Amino acid sequence: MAAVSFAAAAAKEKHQERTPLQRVQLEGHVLLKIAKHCRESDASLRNSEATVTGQLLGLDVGPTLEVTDCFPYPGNAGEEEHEAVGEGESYQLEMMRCLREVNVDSNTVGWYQSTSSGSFQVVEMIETFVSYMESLERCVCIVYDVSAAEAGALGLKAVRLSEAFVEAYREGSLSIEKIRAKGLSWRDMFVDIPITVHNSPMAAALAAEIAPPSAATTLDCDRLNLGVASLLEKNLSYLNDCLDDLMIEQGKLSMHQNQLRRQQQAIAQFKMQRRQENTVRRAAGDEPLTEEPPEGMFKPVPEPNQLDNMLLSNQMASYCQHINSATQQALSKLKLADGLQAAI
Amino acid sequence: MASKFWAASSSDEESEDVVTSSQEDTSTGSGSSSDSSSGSSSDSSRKKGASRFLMGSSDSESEDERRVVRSAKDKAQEELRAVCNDIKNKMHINDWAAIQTLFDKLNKQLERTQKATQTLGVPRAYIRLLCDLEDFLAKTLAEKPKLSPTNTRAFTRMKQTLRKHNASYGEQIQSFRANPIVETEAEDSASEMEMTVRTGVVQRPKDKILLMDPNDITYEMVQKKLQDIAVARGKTTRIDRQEQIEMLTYLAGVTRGPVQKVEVLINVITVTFDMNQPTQSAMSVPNWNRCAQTMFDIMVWGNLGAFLERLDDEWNGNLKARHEPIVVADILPALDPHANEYMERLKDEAVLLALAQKVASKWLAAFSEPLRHSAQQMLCVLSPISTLCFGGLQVSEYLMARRELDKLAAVALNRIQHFYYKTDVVYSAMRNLALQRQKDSAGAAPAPNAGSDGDFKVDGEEVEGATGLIIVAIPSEFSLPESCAQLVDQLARVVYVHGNDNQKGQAMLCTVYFRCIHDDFYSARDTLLMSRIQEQTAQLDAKMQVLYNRTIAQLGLCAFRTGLINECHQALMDLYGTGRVKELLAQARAPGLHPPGLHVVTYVQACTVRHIMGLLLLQGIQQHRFQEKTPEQESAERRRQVPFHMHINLELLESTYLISAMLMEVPAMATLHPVDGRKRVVSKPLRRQPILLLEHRLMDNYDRQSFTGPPENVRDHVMAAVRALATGEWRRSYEYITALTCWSLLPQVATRLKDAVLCMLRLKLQQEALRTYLLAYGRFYSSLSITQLCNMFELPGCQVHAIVSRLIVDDGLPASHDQPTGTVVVHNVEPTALQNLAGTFSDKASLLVDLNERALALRTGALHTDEDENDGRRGPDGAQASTAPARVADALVWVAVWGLPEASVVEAGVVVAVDTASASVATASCQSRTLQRKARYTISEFKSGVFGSSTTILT
Repeated sequence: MAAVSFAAAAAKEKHQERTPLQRVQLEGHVLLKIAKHCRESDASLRNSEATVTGQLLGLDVGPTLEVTDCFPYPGNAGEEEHEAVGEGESYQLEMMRCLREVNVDSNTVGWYQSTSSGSFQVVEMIETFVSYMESLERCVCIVYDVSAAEAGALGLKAVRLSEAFVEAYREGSLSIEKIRAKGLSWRDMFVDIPITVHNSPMAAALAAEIAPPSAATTLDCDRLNLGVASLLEKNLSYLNDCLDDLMIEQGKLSMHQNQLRRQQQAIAQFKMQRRQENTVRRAAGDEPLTEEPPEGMFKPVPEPNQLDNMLLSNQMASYCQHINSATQQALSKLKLADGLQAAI
Repeated sequence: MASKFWAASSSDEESEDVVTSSQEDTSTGSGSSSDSSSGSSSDSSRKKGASRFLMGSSDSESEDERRVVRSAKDKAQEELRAVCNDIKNKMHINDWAAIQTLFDKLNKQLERTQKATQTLGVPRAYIRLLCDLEDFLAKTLAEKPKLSPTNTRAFTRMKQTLRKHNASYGEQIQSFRANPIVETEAEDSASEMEMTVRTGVVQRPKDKILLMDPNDITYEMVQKKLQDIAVARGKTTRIDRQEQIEMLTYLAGVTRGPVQKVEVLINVITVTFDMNQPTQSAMSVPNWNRCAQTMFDIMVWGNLGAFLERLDDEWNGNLKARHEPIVVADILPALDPHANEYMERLKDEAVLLALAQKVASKWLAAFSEPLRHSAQQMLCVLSPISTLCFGGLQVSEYLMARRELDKLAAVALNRIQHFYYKTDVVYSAMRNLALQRQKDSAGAAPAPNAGSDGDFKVDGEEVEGATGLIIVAIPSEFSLPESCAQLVDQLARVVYVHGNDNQKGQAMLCTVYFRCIHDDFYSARDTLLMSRIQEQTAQLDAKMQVLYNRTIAQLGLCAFRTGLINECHQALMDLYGTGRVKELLAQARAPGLHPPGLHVVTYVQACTVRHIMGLLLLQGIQQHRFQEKTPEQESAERRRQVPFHMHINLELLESTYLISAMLMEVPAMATLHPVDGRKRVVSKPLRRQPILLLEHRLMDNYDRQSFTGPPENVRDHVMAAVRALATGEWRRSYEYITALTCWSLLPQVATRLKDAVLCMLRLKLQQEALRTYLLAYGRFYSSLSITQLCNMFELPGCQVHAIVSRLIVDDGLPASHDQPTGTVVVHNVEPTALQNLAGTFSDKASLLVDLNERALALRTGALHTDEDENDGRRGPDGAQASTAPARVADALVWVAVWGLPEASVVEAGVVVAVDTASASVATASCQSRTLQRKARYTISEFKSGVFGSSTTILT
């Protein structure tokens, strides 16, 4: 019996590996918990830069990843870093144990984190992902955008790293050549996975019970608010920061190219000298020396890591998307107002 | 006796050879070679009857000459010989004490001689003496004669000294002993000769031909002598050319027949030209005069053009001020531009011009004579359509004439180069002087105070005959027309018709220069631009480049005088951008380690594409900036210098440049750096405008000073004026400007011009002050009264109106006219934070695009040089710029639209929202057109740029 179940589990395992993750099914109460945690911590910390994180628990069923529960990590802002790490780990283990005791799914499937204006594409995230993936192949990260929530939208995203990128990342520093060989681009780093929210019938019934009358029938003037300026400002300033960083990256790259060129010149010079020396030696009847420079004479110039570059591109893309969606909404509102005025 | 005489002279010459040669005569080889050469020459002369006298004469002449010219060297040598003789005399009487003292004296003398002749060699006479002493010592030792005690002591000491002393000269003594015959044979006669020379009692032997009755001299004798001289030419022997010239001049007087005379005269010229190396030193004034005179005399054939050119070069070389002492031995000291000699030399220009004119007319005559159409030919040569006139000529004749005409062009160009830099005043002064001199040419008296005013001031009393003994007479047919312009024009046409490309280019530049001097800016500029010479400045030779740079400088000055500030600035910017104006204008040598390379200024008007050639050249120069100059480069640079009287006044040039920069820059600075310190959004085109880096740098330096004293130099003055102007205080600014001393240096002396220029400046200052004031402080007003502005800046109402309107149109001042009240109403709208952000964003994005472009160019190796931004960049990566950039683009359009202040007001209620929203749409569509345009511009860049950056780098 046990052997059979084990074999089934093994088969299931294989099956899982074959089918890629296609959707994330989020329980309604998990979403609420995430939102509550992110918003509260944001309010309490008054620091939008600090991100809060938590563990996602659930089941991995075929192409769907069911997230059935979650718990927050203690906020570590203002605390000593190493203490936080140790405490965090023990807390995590403790929580898992407790949850198992109360018969909740204690299977880790990923983590969630808060973000502001979608600027989650940072190196730390990649590192976390890679460390998670060592033990857990199919993990996701759910990103909750606090600023989007403030604007009245649900900024929820389930992301994971693409296979190709992880493979490339694990091989070490990302050089241009490698990226080119793998056919990677900044767009291929993260994979968005569609989220479906699942509620238990009881919860759905409750929701239907307490839901306010339909918005279409009420006169809600707030909906016509065009407050996009602040959003635009914020996004633009982020974009500006990104541009600065990108320029720094650019500078690194051009410096690298300069160094490379100089080194190549030096090598060519060395070879030329050797050649001349060899002609002299040959004339004198000596054995010619090899033209290749000795090992260690010219150290290869370290190439700047392209990871930052790719991440910045990703970030900028998401900022741009924000701007676009915000302005599109605003414009449609304007258009509506225009039509209204014309009618009046 | 004759043979003895020969031997004497030859040995004498040899000893001289040894002394003057810088190389030590250690090996017998060199000694024997000089021996053999002198021997062979004497052999040949011995064979050929009469000519031997000629040869001998030249030798004795050289001795005579040595006494006269190289006296310092010679005296030292002679003294040395005298001491040697003394010792010999003492040896005869066995007076060892005297020998000892004399020997010490001799060694001292040897040192002195070496210093005087600047050689390390030891005279043969000295070695000979050492040998003799050694021999005598050995003899005395062997014979052991009776000696007094003092003598014995001296003898033993001498023995030791000599042994020690001779050890250091062992080699020379050996070589001397190996080959002593000539010397010992000639010894007596040589000493005899020297005695005679030293005492001057005996008449020095004269050349036979000089002593002969002129009537007895035959054609053959002269011919022979001439040949000898011609053979000697070009050899590097130390033949004294001065003496040759004298000989030739004498020969010219006794020639048989005019053909021979001309031959002799031409030889005079060539020998004179051989006397100095043009790369190292200039000809001495008397020689120059002699040359000029000789040329007047010949005028028949020979390469007159080349002679003329050389003469011209020498004249210039004489005038060029050299600041560093030059270590070439017999160099003529350069003339100090403020000394009278310089003035004197300048007067000789008339001679040169007369000569040139004569040569030209000679050729014209020669050209027309066989054709028997002299009048028509004159027309041909001088008219630009001359080629038509040649139609009927036979081809061979035409070609022959053509050859001469090429030279004619060269001469014409030469003459232009004497006129193009002269203002009317200078020209008339020179003309008067020339005419005066022509009148006086019979007499030897130099021209008295002829040029009475202007830069060309001549002090009559201080004229001295020091410069030259030969006063060249100006022939009576020499004439200068009243108008210089006409003359230059005429000559330029000759060059245009007959000259080669280089000559044409030079003539053209000279014409432009001339027109600039005469305040004819537009025609000068048009001529320059039509020639398209600015596109090939890199290929020009150094002389042309200097001329080009000078022309550009003059063009700038001219534009300034005409009140065309922008043009002036454009012309002078390149010149000053390098920071090495003096070298560019060849008015000073590059100091120390500076490169000899010459940067060419590329002047291109705003209408044509600006070249970056100049900058490239500059880079090429800088890479060997810290290399030592080779002597060749050194001398090439020296030759390139422009003589002082042709200099462009640098102080005037600098103040002109700085003032024009100030007038352009101060309003721009007011836009860029507003008073309240907040950086305003500056559109890209505005920043692309040529902003004077130099000026900014100066400004920064000026600001950094903790204490600024009263202005001293030009720069200080202009800086103070800039400070005043930046706050709109044009009066103070004007005071600073007028305090500059260089205004009196304006090329035309008439005060009228100075006043006119200052008047122009005043007006410009007023206008720019108004503009600056409005740009800097306009935002703090809600309205400005036109009349008050008129009072403040002392400008008429219409001008104020014009300037204000212009500012409004150019987006510099957010205001509008209010006609009824006569005010300017300012609509002060501060940009919102969003707009600011959008501005910075677009700036950064475009910067990144540029960087990206460069990175790509580095990778691919191909540089996009042209400016076609949108299309050019789109090419490779446009396809890859997918949805993300497009989204950015869209976003930016919305930013542009929503960036308007109205958008942020939309906060309250439906009705308000609807009203304002529609209003904002309306305003967005009409008012924000500029903003949108900017946004679109950014978009197009961004599409291919920012995201291209990642894609291009990564893929």
